[in-house]
Amino acid sequence: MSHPLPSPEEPTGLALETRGLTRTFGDFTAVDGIDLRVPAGSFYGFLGPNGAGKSTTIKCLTGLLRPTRGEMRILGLDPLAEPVAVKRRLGVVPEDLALFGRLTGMENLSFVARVHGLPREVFDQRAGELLELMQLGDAAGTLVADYSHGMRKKLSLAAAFLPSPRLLFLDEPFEGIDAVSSRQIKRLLQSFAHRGGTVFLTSHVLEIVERLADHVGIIHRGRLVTQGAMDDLRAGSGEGRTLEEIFLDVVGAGTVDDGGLEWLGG
Amino acid sequence: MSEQAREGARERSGSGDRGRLLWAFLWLRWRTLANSLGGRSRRTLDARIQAWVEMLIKVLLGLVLGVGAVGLAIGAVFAAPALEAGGKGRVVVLFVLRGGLGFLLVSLSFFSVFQAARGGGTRMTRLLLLPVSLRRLHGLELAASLADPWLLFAVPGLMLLTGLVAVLRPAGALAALLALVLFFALLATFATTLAFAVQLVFRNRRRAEWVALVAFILFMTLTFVPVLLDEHGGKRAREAPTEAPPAAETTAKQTEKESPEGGERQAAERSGDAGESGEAEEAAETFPIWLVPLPSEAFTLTLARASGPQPAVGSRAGAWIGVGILVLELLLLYRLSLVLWRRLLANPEASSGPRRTEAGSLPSLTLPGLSPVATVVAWAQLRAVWRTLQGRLALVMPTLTLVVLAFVFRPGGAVGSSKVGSAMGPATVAALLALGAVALALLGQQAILLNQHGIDDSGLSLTLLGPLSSQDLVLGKAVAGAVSTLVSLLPALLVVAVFHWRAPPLLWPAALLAAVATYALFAPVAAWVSVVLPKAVDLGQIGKKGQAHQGAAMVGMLSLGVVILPVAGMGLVALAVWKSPWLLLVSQAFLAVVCCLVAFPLLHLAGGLLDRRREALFLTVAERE
Repeated sequence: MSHPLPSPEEPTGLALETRGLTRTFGDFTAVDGIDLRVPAGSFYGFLGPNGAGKSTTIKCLTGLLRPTRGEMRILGLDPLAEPVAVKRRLGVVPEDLALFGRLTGMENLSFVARVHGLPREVFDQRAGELLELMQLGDAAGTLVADYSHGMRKKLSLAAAFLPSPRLLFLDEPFEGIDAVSSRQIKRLLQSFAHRGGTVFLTSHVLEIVERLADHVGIIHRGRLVTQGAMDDLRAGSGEGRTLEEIFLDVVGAGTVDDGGLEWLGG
Repeated sequence: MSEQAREGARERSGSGDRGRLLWAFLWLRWRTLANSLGGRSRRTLDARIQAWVEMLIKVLLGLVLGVGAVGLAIGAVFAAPALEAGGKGRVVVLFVLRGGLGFLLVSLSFFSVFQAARGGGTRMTRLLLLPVSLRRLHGLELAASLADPWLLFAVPGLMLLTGLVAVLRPAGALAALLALVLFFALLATFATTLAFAVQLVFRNRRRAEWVALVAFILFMTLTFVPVLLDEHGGKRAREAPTEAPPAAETTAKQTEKESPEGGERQAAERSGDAGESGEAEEAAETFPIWLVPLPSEAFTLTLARASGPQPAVGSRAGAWIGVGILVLELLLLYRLSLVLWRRLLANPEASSGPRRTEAGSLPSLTLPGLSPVATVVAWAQLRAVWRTLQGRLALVMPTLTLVVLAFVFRPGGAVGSSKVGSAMGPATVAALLALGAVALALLGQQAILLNQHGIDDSGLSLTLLGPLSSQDLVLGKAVAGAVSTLVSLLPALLVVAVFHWRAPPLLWPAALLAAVATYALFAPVAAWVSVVLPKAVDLGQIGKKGQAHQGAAMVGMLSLGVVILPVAGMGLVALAVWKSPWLLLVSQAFLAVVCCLVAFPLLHLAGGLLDRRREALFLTVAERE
């Protein structure tokens, strides 16, 4: 039986907490009663195979989808009751990257800044630094419709960082990004977490999550199958095991043994 | 046999390989068509209903094509003997054949261009990865295009007609059958070449949008030509009334018909009918040199010369001239299509590169009466929409239309000085044109106003993720729509003012107030409809992919008709009954104030509705992703 979430006045040390979060589409249950606990200031890696429900979970948490059942508490607030107040504190890189194709990169950033009420001089300074970091300075005046996928991803990341959020939701942030930018973004995310910000990140690249995340949750077929601090997870699953091995154990992935697909490469 | 040996044999067997590849390409075309009938799984009921309707239309179209093809085949059974027998039957068959094949050519061109422009062409990158040579790929593309439903529609009828002609007149059989094969090959090559050319132009987004914009404006301008010619003809008729036969003369002719001498004259006229019949036959058999290069004409020329009573009009050599033209054109088109194909494949993802402009941000000016957040929503929409094909069309089309209307209805023009025009008076005519400009400006914005959230693509997610209230979102979009409508209206009104410069000066501010009143009533309707019937569209496209939801468009049209009634009614009373421009101005100002007062609470309610429909809007866009 699930207990109600504590009120905002009760400090829990959690940036994000859900209880029985469920989302269905007709007969299909995409997210099935998950209880997430993301400590404030943590770097939380949210893993799962394709179609496990990672993106749907992020959409529910960021207000793009309404949960069918369950409770959520983000930074001590109920996002369903106070959506605008919660969104003021969030930065999101969603699956579809959330950018106006017919606006330039700079105009997209300017839209985000003004919706968040950033003063002009603050925007100018932050936008300049972010565009330089993402190596998008030359493309700032180009329509996003003419951007490559990697450029869009970087701009979406810049838009998420711009209002200096307290909690970042990043859905596959490194997919399609070059090595140089990827390294800089990783450093930026780590320093963001060290300064007290919280990162909630999904990725298929387990090495990235293993290197960056201090907490991990694994979702499989809509259910949260394991969750906890990375060190605890490693300690509980045997000496010297990698995240990949833990992940494969948890989701029960099949393996291709030497006898399979003999015709391949013959 | 080992796997390697089988592989080697497969590589050597040229004809088997060709057949297998051709089958694969044909299968691909038909599988794509069949899958498009089934559609993919839709999440919302509305999307499912729309998918079912689309499927129903496609099935009906398929049925019509199938039944039509059978009908044509039956018609061919009767047409072939008529063609052979000569006389009126032959005339009819030749006219129908020439018209029908001409129509087929135009339809095929239109659909090839349309499909290629919509991105329905072959995925070039995928083709490049296949272990098949470029020349063979090109040949396969041409061969596969023979399976085009429009082409297949004509196959049974034409095959039967040509086959029967060949049986009835063996002397011309070879030319007729050869022409048939060449004609179909030429049609397929023609359609494919057009598609390649369009794909070459349209692979650059900006170039594609400018080309489409210019083509659309040209097309619309051409549709005005008959109106202008008609007006010109009317004016000439007015200027030369004496050229018309006097009524007395007509009566005399009637009397003459009733007299015995008149009867004799009628007999002579009947012999004239025979002459007319001869003229018709001659016309049916005449193939002007400037028309013969059309594949449909060249084929019909061959069929006409290869059939009919001997000696036919012209000689049997004419049949081979048609064949020669078809061969020549086929070779030229094949060569051209190969060149285009190679250019396409040489760089399948080619583009002229992104255009870089100065990296300016959205204007920081806050619009009066709006919150900064609502203002930035408005600026974002204006900037984004004005960079699209439809956004630009919405700005220019009212002015273009008003140029024609204001010219036709100008004072002293044929219509302006007609009885109706004179009875209404120049001020009322100018007022009606101004009202027309308001209606057209709103009409032009329908795809945008009635689908305010569906046009944002993934920008909608950015908006929904931002800390902004639904009220700000609705208000910002409504203001953006107002600015856009005003920008498209002002030049259109200016055009009316230029042609009707003698109209009362108060008419023009009254027209602007009428626009405010009409928009104030229409904006809440548009806001509601946008939330209830959203559709993810690309305003860079003119076709279905760029249009609002059909239900929304219908509600929009009806609403526009209703919301324009108050300003039209009061305007007519003020001008036509009281003949007072001052009353017109005051009444429109009164209406503008009242309508704005009504609009605000309605927009507020629309904001509430948006709050409840945020997820549905997001899913609508996600459906397209």
